[in-house]
Amino acid sequence: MNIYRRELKANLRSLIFWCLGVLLFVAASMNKYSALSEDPSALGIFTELPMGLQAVFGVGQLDYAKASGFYGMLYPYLVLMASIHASMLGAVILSKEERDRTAEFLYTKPATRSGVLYAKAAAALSLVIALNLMIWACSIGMVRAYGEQVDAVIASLMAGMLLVQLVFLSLGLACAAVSSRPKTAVGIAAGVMLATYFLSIAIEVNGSIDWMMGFTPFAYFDAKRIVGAGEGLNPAYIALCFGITAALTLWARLRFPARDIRV
Amino acid sequence: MNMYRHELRCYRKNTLLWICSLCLGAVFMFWMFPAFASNTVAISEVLRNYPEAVQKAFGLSADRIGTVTGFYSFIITFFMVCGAVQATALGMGVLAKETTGKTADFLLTKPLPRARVLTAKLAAVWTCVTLTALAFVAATLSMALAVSPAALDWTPFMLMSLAFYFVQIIFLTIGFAMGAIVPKIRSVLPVAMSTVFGFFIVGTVASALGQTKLYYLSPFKYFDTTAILETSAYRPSYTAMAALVTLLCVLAGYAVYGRRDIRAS
Repeated sequence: MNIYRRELKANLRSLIFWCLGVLLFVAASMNKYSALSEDPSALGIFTELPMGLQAVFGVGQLDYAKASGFYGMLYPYLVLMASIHASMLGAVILSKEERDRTAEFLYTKPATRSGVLYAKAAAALSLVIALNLMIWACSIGMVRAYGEQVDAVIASLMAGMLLVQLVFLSLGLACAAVSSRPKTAVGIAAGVMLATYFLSIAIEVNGSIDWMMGFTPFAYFDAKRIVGAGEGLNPAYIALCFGITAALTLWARLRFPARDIRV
Repeated sequence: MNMYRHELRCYRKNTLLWICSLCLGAVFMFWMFPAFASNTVAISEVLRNYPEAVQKAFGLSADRIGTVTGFYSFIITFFMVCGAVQATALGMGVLAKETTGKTADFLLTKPLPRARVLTAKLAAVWTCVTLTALAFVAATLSMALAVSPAALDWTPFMLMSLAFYFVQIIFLTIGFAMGAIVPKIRSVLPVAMSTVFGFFIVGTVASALGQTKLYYLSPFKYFDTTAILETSAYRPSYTAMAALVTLLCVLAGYAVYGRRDIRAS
């Protein structure tokens, strides 16, 4: 419990920065949108473009004239921010003791390795959920400001975001649990995140590699379908998210208590 | 000179890794080009039906988007993001590692003025970034020549490749300034990633909304690749902005680090 509380306190400042970043981003784009929404004809040309070109501009079957359609355009960037936060947090929270040379101090305390892992994972999970809730509040505030009530759609988008966050959080934890070099752990987590993000963009541009969608969490929950067509989250991908998270967490749980700690 | 060599040795593996992954990414992306090109036949058909004003608004003309250079103008943005992460992490890490590694007092008690230390370190990371950019451009160029059905449009292609290098330089100096100003950056990569992606998101949303004034906020937009594709030139005002940001960051780094209180551990 002490470790959990300590980690929460240690990461509070960075969480506040992330929340401010999200708030600023949503507020700024909302501000720009209000200028655009008064002149819907400027937005119309986007929606008439053919599919391949829409992918180039980051729009799909989204109605830009509606605040919810505009929000659907922003959603992938919010997911990207939340994923960077989650993967980096997961990798750093576990590996920083070795980086800061405090590993001896912590791991000679009368707490088991797995106990420490659980406490740190729980703290990271709380922080990730807190960021998710913050983004949720911003999203609802933004769409409601334009008099639209799509709380149910936003709720399912946020649930999807949380699942992606969980995947990246467990990825970060697993990297740090396996590697005894803090730099390598963070580097691998960052590399996998970058690679999957660019893969998701490649898939969007080139429809013929759709079969790769399973490899990138960024492609699991598509705002264009959820907002534009009113579909729910794809159950297969929900299951995949839980599966990846469970597998990575289990791997971390098995390997972390057994590995060398560098002092 | 010793310090320069030492830093180069420290970053040798890291730089090689970045070069390999960037080149692999380039090979993967260009491997997709034939599929993209066959898509764009339909796109340019539709685009021809639009009035010229609309085509201008999107900054592309119908017959350019399906070429290798048109494809490159689109994918290079994502490589710029990767290169920017590398450059920011380098610029930030080269200063931050002395404080986190508790080697600052060892280094700074050497008979060298701080400015010389900074110069050696900056020169070292600049070398790393330059080598990375050279290797990356060589890889994309050979891939482009390999997959292009027609002759390559050299001027915009090389301008975009240079833009990749310039974006790296801007982010190198941004990272350098942050490393010099912020007292203690414990984990460099997370900070570098959030900085770079912050700028990237600002730039992308600005271009989706057509807000060219906001382009000044995002170094990724200083060398707007669709504009390069269209005009085969950089836009002077943004290029000036890029030079200004780079210069200011370097000066700020020297000014602050030269007289900062660095705690011995």
